[in-house]
Amino acid sequence: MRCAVLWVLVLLGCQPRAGLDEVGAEVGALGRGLPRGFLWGTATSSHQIEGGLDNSWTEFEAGAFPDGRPHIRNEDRSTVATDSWNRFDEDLAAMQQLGATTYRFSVEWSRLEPRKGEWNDAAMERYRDWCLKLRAAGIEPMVTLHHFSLPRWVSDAGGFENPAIVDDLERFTRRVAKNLERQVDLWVTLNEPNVYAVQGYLAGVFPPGKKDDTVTQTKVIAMMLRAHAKMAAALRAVDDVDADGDGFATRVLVAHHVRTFQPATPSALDTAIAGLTDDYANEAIPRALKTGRVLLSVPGAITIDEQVEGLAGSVDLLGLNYYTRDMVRADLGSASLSQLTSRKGRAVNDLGWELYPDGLHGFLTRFAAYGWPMVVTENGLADRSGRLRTPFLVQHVTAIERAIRDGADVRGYAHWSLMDNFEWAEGYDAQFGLFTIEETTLRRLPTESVAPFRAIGANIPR
Amino acid sequence: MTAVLLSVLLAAQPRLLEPEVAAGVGVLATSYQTFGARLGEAALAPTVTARGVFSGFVVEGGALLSAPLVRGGTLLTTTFAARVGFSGERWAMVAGVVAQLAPEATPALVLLPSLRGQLSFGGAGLTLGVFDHLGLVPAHLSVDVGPFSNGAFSLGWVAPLGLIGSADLSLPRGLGLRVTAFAYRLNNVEAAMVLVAGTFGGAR
Repeated sequence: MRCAVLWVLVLLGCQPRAGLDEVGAEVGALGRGLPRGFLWGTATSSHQIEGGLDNSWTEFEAGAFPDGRPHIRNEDRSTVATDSWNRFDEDLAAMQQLGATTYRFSVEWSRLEPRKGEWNDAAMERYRDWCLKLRAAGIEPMVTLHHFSLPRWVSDAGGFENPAIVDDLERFTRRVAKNLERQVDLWVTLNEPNVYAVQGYLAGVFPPGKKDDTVTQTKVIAMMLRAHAKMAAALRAVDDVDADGDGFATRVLVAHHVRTFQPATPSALDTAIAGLTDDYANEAIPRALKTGRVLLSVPGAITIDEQVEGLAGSVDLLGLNYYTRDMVRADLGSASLSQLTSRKGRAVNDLGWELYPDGLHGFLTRFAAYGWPMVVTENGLADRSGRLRTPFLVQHVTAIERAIRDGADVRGYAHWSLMDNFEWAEGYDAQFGLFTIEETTLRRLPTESVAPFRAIGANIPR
Repeated sequence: MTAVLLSVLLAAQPRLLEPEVAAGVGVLATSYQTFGARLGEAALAPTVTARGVFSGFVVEGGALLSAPLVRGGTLLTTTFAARVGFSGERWAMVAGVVAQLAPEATPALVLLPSLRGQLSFGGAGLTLGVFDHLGLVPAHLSVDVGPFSNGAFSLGWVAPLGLIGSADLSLPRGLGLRVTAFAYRLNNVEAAMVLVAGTFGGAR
């Protein structure tokens, strides 16, 4: 049927629909097309903002690649980051300035369990205090349990290469859920399993810094899904307190990174590799969450086809982290079988990522078929100039409104990020924040996009 | 024995493949996520192909330029194909290489093997192709019907999921008109093309 539609469009002369990138930067009535109760806020992660950590990333930050280049651009280190561990009240004030109704943040495993079985109750108390303050401010906490960083005792034991992590994460989840159950209903078990595996085992720019190892990369994704299944079960078993009286005590998400992969040329090989890449990176995880079947394949390297107990039905909402589109060019000599490039002549962010809001609409309408309500758990851009952020925001929220009109059930949006922070391998160069951080004082300074962000939020039906 | 075989193969006789020149223009489109996607991936694709047959030995060459019709389309790509093979009266086989040059991509040049085999059973036949049609079709198996006095047509399956078809219309003085169309899908990526070409010489 879809082929037939495509044929018809070809025969009609391929009149393109106006792209969302042609939408201007005016807020106007934007937000009124979002449903009542739509969550509107920002996202961060512990390692990128808290400061003062000692984990797999702090170890990686000190290292260098075999050719001598530092692991992190400009030899940046996370160190104090935005010092959010000590400045949560300032972060909260920034959220209030944005008119936010949700805040997605992660609890840092290495801080809460610095050594196996040794728990930092004071740190847990501080996270609970954050959640209380958020609730008091009318901001729904959305807590991520794993966002890229691992305690050293876990990474030293092999991280997600070692099956022991499944039980360790389950224990950690139970502990956190027990302590935060009265404040938290929205739980993100894992952030971007595909990115964690690809960056850590194919690109080698995340810990453990392995390169071109698609076999381990694929095994790691499978292990993360096994861990997720147990974490989700633990959350549902432990957190039976409905914190906000909306009828749900626990709602589980995975924050799934999606990326538009299109063939760079009409070549059948580019088309085939784009299709395989899309399945591996975009489709395999939601499919596994729906069916319980982990089906991942890198042709010529590895195929995993495994039914994981407890995985089917393990999420209540699907989280989508969306940023950009890539063009896929076949390169059978590379481990990933392809090279990715951005479109020429299109607007890009400071990292060279194409700004492509139509892709967000595409994913929301595509994954609507799975039947889950969805939350955009990350969406943003590195924009030091600040000139691109407001049109980016307007275009992507327009994409969400259009997707809702087209039948997608979208319940929330968390902009990445609340403030500029430590952007992993890019260090502090990539500025994703709605607030910038004054270098000497670490004060949160609003960008020009704060007002439009607040205006959109104010338009959302209450 | 070899000499006998060669003499039989090379003897003047009707060949399944005959010399031909074809030139045309197509509209090529790739789509992603289908209904939600813009059709910004359409490209105009002028093509030219030529075939020579010398005592059964076949030499084929072709070129295609894929130029995006709208901003943000697939990259400008030039494709060249060269194949050699042999044609008997009821069978033919050609194999070679397709070179796809997209200067803005990395790698800029991608080489693909290309293969086409044909069998004829009189008024009908089968064609198997891998990266056929200038590397635009991953693999296809088609049923050919004809030639009739005024043309021929074929219809086939494109792997993993798709269709390909063509129709040849004979015109006076060795001229002809050929319409070729295909569409296929792999996961969430789709490609389709309609190509209209004028031909001169043995059509099939």
